[in-house]
Amino acid sequence: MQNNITVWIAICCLFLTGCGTSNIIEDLGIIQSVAFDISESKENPLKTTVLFPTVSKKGTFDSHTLSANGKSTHETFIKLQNLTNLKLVSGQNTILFGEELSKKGLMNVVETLTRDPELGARVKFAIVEGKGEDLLKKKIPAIEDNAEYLFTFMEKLGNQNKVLNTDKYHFLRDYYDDGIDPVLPVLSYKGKNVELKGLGSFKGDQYVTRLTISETQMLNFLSGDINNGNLMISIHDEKSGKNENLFLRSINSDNDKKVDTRNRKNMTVEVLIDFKGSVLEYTGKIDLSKEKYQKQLEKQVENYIKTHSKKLLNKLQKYKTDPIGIGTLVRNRVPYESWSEMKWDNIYPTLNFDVRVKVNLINTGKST
Amino acid sequence: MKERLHPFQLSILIMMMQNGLVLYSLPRLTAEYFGKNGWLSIIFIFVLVNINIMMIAIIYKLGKGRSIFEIIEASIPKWVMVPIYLFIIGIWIGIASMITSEYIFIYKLMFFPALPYILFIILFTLASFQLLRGGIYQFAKASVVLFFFVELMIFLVFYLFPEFEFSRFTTFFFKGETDYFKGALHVYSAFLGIEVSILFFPMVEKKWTKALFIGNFISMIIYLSILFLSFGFFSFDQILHDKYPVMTLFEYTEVSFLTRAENLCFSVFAFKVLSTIVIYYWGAQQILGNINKSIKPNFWIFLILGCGCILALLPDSIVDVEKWVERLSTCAIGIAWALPIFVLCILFIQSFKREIDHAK
Repeated sequence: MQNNITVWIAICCLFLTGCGTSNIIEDLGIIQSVAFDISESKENPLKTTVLFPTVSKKGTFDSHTLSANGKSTHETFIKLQNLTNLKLVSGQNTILFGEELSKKGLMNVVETLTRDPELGARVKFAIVEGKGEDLLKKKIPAIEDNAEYLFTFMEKLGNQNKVLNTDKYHFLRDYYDDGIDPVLPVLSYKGKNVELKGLGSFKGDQYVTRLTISETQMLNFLSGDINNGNLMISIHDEKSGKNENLFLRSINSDNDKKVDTRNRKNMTVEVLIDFKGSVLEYTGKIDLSKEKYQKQLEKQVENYIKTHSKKLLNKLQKYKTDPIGIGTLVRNRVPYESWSEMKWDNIYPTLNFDVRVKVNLINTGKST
Repeated sequence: MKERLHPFQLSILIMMMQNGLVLYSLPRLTAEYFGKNGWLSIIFIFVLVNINIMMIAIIYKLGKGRSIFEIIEASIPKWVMVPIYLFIIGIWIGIASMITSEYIFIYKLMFFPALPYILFIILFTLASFQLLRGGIYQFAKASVVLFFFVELMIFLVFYLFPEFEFSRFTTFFFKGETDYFKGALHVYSAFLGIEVSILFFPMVEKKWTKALFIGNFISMIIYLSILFLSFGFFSFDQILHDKYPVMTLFEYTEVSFLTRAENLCFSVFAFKVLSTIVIYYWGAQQILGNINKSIKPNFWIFLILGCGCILALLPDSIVDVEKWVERLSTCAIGIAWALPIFVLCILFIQSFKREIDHAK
């Protein structure tokens, strides 16, 4: 008998916990996407724009954006609460940062986001060329819900391209690591649609340079192993004297990096890329069915990857940003004391790179 | 004849009664106090814990299955021991109630900030009451069921392997800012709970001591795998900046039918916390029962749970709770070592006396 009573009391307690807070979904403005920008006002330098869906009494769906300026993230959120009849709650899965704010440094904003347990580790981060606010407000043809569109867009990018898989976890992981810098995709709203412009590379928490799409592809090959990737390159054809397009697909590339740390002042990093792919498009004139020409093409692809990756590495060195994680390589090769005393930021731009590429074209498609 | 605990049930009980709540911050604690590759410290602490439980096993063997009260009171009058008993009871009830508080505070921080604190305490107390009334045998059976609820969660971490990288471990060992002693206390507290097994002697089968080692080993394997994964999944400074890295670990797991698994995992983890609390209350109840055998055990249960409930209501903030858990854990580690050493000394003196008597 006594047993039953305690069991009942326990069950009642369990259900009573549900009375703690009640949230009626019609009264909520569930924020789906947030954009942070620098505002025009000097007093309140941060501008936050939120996007949340609204449902009318007729049952039609619409999305709504609101903006507010403030000194900190949550100050702007409080101001936003005063601009609507709904209770704004966070449920965002995409966070956009304006270009100007990204250049100043993101950690002030991101730190607040890490304090908030409601925000998951998989929240997508991206930089917007121009203002994030404008992207959220943009009317994209045939798209009703910008937030959902942005999230699926970025998820697709992440699945296609490993380096474009950027969320809160990836950003913080690389920010806090002393041997690698974070990256975020750069989106643009200047055209009719939202467009991926490339990859923004960071120095600490500051956005320093944008890598173009082809540089991003190169970075992908330099960062790690690739399975089933694509590559569009343009090759100089000696016969016609023009640049010809070559598109490779089903690319499997293995990547190996070695660093010689014996001479601390003149370190050399060796990057070995073993690259296999099949040809899907070639606009040049040479006959790819002949082995001799295939070998010739392989050589050209090798040269292309070699020169372009060297160019990319030099660019990264110039901006002192290391999204590949060369620092990690060096750190894991030297004793602790040398690494902590080493002024890595000054050494990184002086590194020598030796890129070696081996290309194998597995097939050249169905036609001869 | 009374039913006795089977070694398999016992090893699961031992594993369940260890203070698993520490696991949620364990990667940060090892990184903070042991520096780079601090996760390896768990192996050293595991060896220490093994020495500790080895002492318990030796006592069981030398004492020939007598309970520690019988061993102690054969040489020392009970009234001398009462203050020590009360001290142990105080620490054990204290630590149980603080672990309850800590769990609820984390729960409130992470998931339900507006959750009424008192309801949760009542829920825990009632559940503890039910488990305590059944006695240790029933509790061991229940803990086997709870074990499968809790430990299945560990398989979720396999989904994190794509992000795992060995280069994040670095080639540095125990470098950076370190404080080994404080760190050892923190890591040791993850194994606490096992010292209560010194009271198991009258209730167990003869070859039970191997269960102690097996249970402790399972705990270590779980801790080690989570720590190993964390150090390859997070960068070192990221661990230092995260209060509960294991929570983030589960937060990142995404299966097609489940996202943000940390909510589910932490809720189910209540069962493990409950096991730890109950075993400490049970220990306190056993000692109180020994101090005064004429009073019904139910009275002691009410008294212990009443005290525990009030104590759990006292702290106001998570910092308070953490401070108290740290202090009480240090005392509990003291008890975990001092009590077996003390009993061993008595046993040696007793056997020495017996030898002299024989010689005479």
